[in-house]
Amino acid sequence: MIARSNQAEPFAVENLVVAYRAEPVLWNVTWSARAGAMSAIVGPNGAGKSTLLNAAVGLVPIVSGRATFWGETFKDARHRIAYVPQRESIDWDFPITAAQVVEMGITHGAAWLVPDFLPRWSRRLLGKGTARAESKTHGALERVGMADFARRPIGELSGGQQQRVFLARALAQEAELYLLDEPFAGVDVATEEILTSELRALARAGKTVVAVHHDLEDVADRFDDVAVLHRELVASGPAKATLTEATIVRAFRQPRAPLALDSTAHG
Amino acid sequence: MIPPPSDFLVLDAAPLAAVVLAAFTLALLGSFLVLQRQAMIGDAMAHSVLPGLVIAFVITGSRAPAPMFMGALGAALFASLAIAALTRYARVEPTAAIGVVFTTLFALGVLLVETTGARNVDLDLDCVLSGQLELLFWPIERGASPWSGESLDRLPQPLLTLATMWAMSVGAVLFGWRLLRATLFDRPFTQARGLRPGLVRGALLLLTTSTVVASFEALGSILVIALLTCPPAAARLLTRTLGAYVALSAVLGASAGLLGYAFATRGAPILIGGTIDASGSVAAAAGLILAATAMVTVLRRPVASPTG
Repeated sequence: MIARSNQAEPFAVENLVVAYRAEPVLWNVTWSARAGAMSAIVGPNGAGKSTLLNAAVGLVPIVSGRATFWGETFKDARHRIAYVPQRESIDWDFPITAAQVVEMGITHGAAWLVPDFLPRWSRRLLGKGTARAESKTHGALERVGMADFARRPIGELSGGQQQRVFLARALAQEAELYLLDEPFAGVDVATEEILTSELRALARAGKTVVAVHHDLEDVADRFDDVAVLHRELVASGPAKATLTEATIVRAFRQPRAPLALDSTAHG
Repeated sequence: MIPPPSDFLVLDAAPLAAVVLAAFTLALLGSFLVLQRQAMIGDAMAHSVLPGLVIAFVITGSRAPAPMFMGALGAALFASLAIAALTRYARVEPTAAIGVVFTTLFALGVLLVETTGARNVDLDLDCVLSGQLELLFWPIERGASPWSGESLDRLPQPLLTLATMWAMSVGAVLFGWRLLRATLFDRPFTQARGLRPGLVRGALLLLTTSTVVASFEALGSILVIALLTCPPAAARLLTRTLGAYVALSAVLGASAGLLGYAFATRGAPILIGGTIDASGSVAAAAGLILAATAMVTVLRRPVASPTG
């Protein structure tokens, strides 16, 4: 059965198959992230990159195979994992402030039921750790250069600033594994630099970073490892060595025949 | 000498309280529907209630509040589920799914009224559309204090139901505040953190459905829809934070209830020489508040200059 060992990879998928209706999106993918490294998942549109993360964190049902975290299921390990969803899945007009977004990452248990529009002294009576949560929130926003925007509604920030707030929320979670879905999509240069240096700092501190990435040009500069995905795993390994022309052609240029579910013997 | 109870207490206190409570609660819960761009769900629920009422009447043979409430709630929940199923599994556009479900159920309700003979027992369509606010009088004893136990026992049942829904909704929004904000804003993140965004949305929808049904008998469907959508839409134009938005929406709803009722019972007799339908007047007040807000917003917005 599942090995309960901290030596196991922080994130691994084995023979993962995910389908939307009858159409397979991921086919028999086996891959694992190296602990303390930054890994990028790349591939053409519709290759199943985001699906891999979504299936791993339980947002999309897995048809067969499994995703494990330090050898455990996601449910058992989720307190050690920070997940940053894709920009497109968010309604940015929602009236929530940057600080309130970050607090979503550090609110636990009964604190969810303490309304935060009450005066501060009453919140301190109701829930311990209000002051600590506030300083954590502030610290995380400061790390991404957004402390001055804490009380701004998220919809009034630029795309890059919004992405930085999302990273701050993940940082505040103080996780050991960071799963990010397209963190660099549509951000400005300043944000790009902040994201890269913060993620790099996490990896240096021994944390593991896995990001879905769309830009092949800069993968080798930003990431240590890469997994090239096109429904199946095309190639994986150290970024520079893996992203050969042959691999890229295989993943991006070659039209792949659509897989059919009935070509497999089910269970 | 003990003074007789005033006309206001007997005739106006209960309907006014009912309309203000319902307006507050509907606008409060409606603010979350509008936030999710699902304002039309309220419309769908209000119209879907009709077949539920008729079926409950046919089964039990009575117009007692309990079976009526259960029938209406069942129909509204069925409508919500049908909309969710059409959207999710048949991949019908959400607005189209809402339109299809509520027109079909409303038509089914009309057919049932015609064929089952429910029409003869004053389950008539006028009531469904505009409610029976006028029937909510308070049969208070001559000379009794309005706060005495006996007087309170005589409060009309729909008013008590509305008060219960008000208390439940306010409590749910207060204690569910953070959960609502987090799960409605970022569903994937909250789900990955182990919260249950689907459950939160479901509970919110159940509360909304119950309030719609509870408001239905007194206020009618037009007013229910107006109060679910107009105050939140106006509040959204005037506020930047969730707390201000939700609070203002509820206050605007209650104000529409108060102003609309006052106009129908006090203003209209002076202006046009007779009382008018209170439900219509409140719905119109809600619409006017939204129109005034929209106008102010447009006028306040700086005009873009070509030179920048």
